[in-house]
Amino acid sequence: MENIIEARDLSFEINGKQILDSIYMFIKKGEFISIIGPNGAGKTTLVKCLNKNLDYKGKVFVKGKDLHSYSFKEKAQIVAAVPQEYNLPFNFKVVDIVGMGRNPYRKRFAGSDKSESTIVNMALRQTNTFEFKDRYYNSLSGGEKQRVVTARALAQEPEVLFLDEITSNLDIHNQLEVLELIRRVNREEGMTVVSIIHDLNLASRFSDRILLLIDGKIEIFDKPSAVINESVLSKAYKMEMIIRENRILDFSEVVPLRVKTENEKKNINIHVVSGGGTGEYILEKLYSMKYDLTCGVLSMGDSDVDICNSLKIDYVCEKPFSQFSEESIKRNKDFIENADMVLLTDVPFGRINISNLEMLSEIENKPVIILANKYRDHIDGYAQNIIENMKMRKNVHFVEKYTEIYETIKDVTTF
Amino acid sequence: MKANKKTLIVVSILLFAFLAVLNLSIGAVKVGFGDIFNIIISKIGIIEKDDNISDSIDYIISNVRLPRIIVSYFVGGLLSICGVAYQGLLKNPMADPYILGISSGAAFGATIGIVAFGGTKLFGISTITLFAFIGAIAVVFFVYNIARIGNRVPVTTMLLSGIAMSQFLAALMSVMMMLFDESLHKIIFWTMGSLSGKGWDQVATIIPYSIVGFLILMVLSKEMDIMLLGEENANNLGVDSEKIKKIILVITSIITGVAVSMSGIIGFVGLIVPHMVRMFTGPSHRILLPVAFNFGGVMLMCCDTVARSLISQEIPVGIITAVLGGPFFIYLLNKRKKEMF
Repeated sequence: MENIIEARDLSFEINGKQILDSIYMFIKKGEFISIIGPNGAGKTTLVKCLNKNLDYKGKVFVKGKDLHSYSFKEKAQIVAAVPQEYNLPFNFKVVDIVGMGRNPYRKRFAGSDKSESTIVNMALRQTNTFEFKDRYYNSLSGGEKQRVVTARALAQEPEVLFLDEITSNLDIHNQLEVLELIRRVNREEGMTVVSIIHDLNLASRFSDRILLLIDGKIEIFDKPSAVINESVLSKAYKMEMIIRENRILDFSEVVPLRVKTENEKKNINIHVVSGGGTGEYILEKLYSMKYDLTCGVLSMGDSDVDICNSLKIDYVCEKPFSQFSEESIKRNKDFIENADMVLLTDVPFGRINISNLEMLSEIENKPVIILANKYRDHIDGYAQNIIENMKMRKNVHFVEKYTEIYETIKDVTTF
Repeated sequence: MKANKKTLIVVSILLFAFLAVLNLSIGAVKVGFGDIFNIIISKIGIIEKDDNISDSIDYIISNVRLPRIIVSYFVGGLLSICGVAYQGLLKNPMADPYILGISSGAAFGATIGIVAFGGTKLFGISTITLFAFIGAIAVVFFVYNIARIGNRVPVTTMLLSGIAMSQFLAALMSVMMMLFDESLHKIIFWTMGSLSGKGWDQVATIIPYSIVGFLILMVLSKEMDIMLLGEENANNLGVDSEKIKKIILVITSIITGVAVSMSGIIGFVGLIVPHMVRMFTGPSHRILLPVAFNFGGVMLMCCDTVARSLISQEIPVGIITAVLGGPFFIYLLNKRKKEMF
């Protein structure tokens, strides 16, 4: 496939401040590209340079030809931009605004030809704006305006579409509607899309490749799976996050947790016994409180395994629906041995994971915190019996609610 | 729709003709419609002049009132289309042809002409007119270059430097008015605008400027529409907005300069006519420009007739445009503001 856009040593400087620093990149025909990066990274500047809105240094090629050699009209036949919706000082009708998209094709002294209104109507229909084509633009809602300026860009029949944070002012429904429309023209008509977007999950979900820009430099420009991971993103965004697979829509999803704080490590080891997703919330919270964690024994496919992976917590894992092996039990006992205390979540017990509880009942030399759950026994009272027996011991602490866990851990450690 | 347009054009022309003749007949000396037709047609040479019409009436109509109403029509038209162009270019509804300081430049020039040369003629042109025109063009040149950053001229810096320049020149003018108080009356009268004493020379000057200026703006009307979306959007839609901006600035400066140097500072027309017309035609320049030209022309023509005939002494026409135009505009604004803004 040919490179529809290529930048070589592209730089932009304003008042001595380097906004873009020697960008080399290419975009292939028909790709859906997202540009992400923190505020002030130069995303908008990059797109403006590629669109001949700014006087840059270096070279930009559009369809193999130097961008400077295009007139504005020629360029507008190839490249269109969808800005964020905005208000106008004077009130035009929707159909007039969309009609302006045909300007690159108009000859100065010729009347408008018939194909013009056909193309305008098509753009109006594609964006679901046909029904209010005779209304005044300024009287529309934000979502409607966004669709009108999108229609205007589509009326240009461009080969490349630049989008500048067009979802920022839209509600969730309108975000999806606009992006699905863009993806449809991308997939069906082969229109190349270059989109600045703040929402990492939308970027991950819709793009073929993602360009991460930090301080005017390309950090990475690759497939979403290569970009959407913690080690890459943490360079751009100083926050703690979890990356997990969204299996329903099949893309990597970012769950932002909190802004990174420089909490001191506590140097306390806690071994967590969980399963069935009961550890997700607790593990994450303890992790953020800077405890050292281990976990086990878990079954493969459990969402607790996912969270351990994304937080890089060591764990013992067994095949799903099978008895724990000697090997797993031995490794888990080593974890318990190294831990300062052990925490049992409200995981229910059945025949497969009962070994986890049996291991707990053997602990005598370190604190065990148990989150109570009346309905955890699924082996005819056997598990319940073990727990009842443990209540007698001094090293065992029962808590009723999630929120009490952290207080109890503090009490136990200070003791 | 098309039939409607045609009837509208026919009705406008008839109304225009009626108003023109009415304005010719009104004045210190009342002249009947029949006599006016007779005088005009006899000039063309189709019929003999009626012997009952005295030479003085003939002179008043053909050498005083007729050139004056023609000049007033074109001055009004030019100010209106310049207002349209500036409001679009600066994307500011408050803009008028004087916003970049053209009026102050012209007034300052005229003051020099009055003070230094007493309004004598130089190369066959009144020094007041000549210096006013030079002042108007010089100011725009300065404002443009002060505002320029590299190749671009941002609208905000242009507005600000225009305002600064205006204030500066107004202050200089006040100083000159203080120093040369024998010319005070003349200067004040000039700055309020007047069309008195305009003859065929001025008609011959203003018509070519009007036609060329109007046609160039009409050719750029689609680009002007698109530039209302903002300069960057215009670029993305294939409009070289810096180039268009320069062309429009040059054209409007020259034609405003011509209008102002000829008639003084007639306020309000260039600000209000564009808005009035836009309420009916919408913002599209292809319709807005010709309608604004005609409407502004007819409005100034009528205001000028009021100015010269209301009382025995001539009232500066700028006062009439403001007194009549202001309340009418407020009435329209009140009625239509909901759908406009």
